[in-house]
Amino acid sequence: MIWNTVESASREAIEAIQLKRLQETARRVYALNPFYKEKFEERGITPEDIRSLEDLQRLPFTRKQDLRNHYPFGLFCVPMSEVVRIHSSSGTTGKPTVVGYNAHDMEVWNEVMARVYTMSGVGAEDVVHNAYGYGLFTGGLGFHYGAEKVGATVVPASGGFTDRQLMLMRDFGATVLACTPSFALHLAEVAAKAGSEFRKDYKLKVGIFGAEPTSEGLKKEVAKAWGIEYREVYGLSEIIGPGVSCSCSHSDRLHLFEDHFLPEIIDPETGEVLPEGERGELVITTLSKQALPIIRYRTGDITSLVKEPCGCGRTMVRMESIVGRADDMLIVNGVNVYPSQVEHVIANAEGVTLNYQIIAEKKGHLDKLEIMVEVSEEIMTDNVGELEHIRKEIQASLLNNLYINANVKLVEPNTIERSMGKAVRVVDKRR
Amino acid sequence: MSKSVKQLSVFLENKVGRLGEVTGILAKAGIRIRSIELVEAGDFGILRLIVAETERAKELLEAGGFSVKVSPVIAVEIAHESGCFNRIVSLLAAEGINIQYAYTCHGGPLGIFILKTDRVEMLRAVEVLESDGVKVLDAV
Ligand SMILES: [Zn+2]
Repeated sequence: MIWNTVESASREAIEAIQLKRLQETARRVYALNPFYKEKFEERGITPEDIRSLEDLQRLPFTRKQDLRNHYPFGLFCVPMSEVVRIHSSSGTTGKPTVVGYNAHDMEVWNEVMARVYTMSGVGAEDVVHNAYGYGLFTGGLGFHYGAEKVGATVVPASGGFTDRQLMLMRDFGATVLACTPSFALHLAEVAAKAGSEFRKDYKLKVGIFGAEPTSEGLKKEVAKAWGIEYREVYGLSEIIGPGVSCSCSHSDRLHLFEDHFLPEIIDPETGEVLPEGERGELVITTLSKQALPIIRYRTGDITSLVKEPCGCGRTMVRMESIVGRADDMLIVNGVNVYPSQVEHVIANAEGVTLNYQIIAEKKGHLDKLEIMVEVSEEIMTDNVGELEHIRKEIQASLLNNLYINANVKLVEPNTIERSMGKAVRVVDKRR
Repeated sequence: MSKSVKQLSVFLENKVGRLGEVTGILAKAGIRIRSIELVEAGDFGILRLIVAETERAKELLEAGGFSVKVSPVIAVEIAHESGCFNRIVSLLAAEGINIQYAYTCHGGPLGIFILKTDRVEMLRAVEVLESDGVKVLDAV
């Protein structure tokens, strides 16, 4: 089932919509916001210079810092009387980023979330257990109204209270679980205390997960723990919240709703636009938002895009599940390496998620990489040869998949430095 | 499950003092070590132990931050005389059973020979040894 026919429109039709909306958005920000007007003027362009989609590249980037600098409402393009909703990032350092929506923007958000639910096979018969946090964070309310739009029954559970959540899921017959993957796994672990047959007490068929970086290993674990289909949703509050893209039944890639959000992939170092299929930083221009339209927003997320139509019938461009953060990128002897890629390689080689740390050092003129991998119970053996085999296997996979020559070192559990409970992934001693 | 005893394997990095931490944890808990063998490979090693209370030792070592694996091994009684190891090794070799590793364990007037075969061969190894009069132990 496809929510909106535009999701399977021809490439030409999609591009025609994109160009028309891009021109409108450029006119809107230029006319209504001094920040953008100044930026356009710096480049000697006006909205009339946008004649093709390629002209997008002439427009300036917008960064998270620009939102912070204009805290709270400085980048809004409508009077506050028109704003119906505010969301904000938690912002552990400095000012939070604040985003606003008018009634039209809320419709856009509900529309894209309705596409997410439909893509996940969710409709009026379903009961959606929504354990994303309700509040300033966009997760809770984004998932809430989208579910209502497709006619499903929403249980606004929000976060915490694991035992009570499980009771509600059982008693209300939840068929859809919407939450972060790590919370889904936590719920499963607690539910499993009732015995290995616990799944018979639940009616879950699909989970719509997102809001945190997730390894392939964790996705498989969550799907297996609950015995459900795993759908991944991507989004960020600066663009709209959840609902920018979502994975379908035919592909691990996420269909990006490009009639509302225009994506580009750039080299994070040079800002240059990269050809289709290459990995780089995702940049998004909103095409239909009115309260806070945003031009060429640097998401900081690393992914790639393919336009080839999908087996599910949709033609909307598909993005790869986020590979890493542009900020975490390491350049090792000229090769770009993201810590999460290392994690994927280890998980694929050994079938389990292992704790690791990447240590980059300079040896002469060359970069030297050492990867420490904790020996967990899952891979522990009584045989030295087997451990040495695992070590070499990880080393070979890194070379074959990422083209990096690293020395893998097996270490005892809990020896990798933790910071706020999370393992420190990268130690760059070259800086 | 064939006749076997339980062996603990502990992952150790090649660092000063780690071995002492393992033996310290066991000594503090009053768990007797019957046999101990350290095998190393470059930066790391595996410490193999046969102890009096395997499960309790495993829990304590894991709580102490170590990765621990319990595996079954074959323990046979041997006399202190020349040729006794050769007899056991030859019996298994004649049947095409590979010994992955072996070490000894002391206690009492007779010695104990600990050996590990491929898991699938264990049952057959025990049968071969017992049918030739070798005493296979289910506890040490
Ligand atoms: Zn698809």
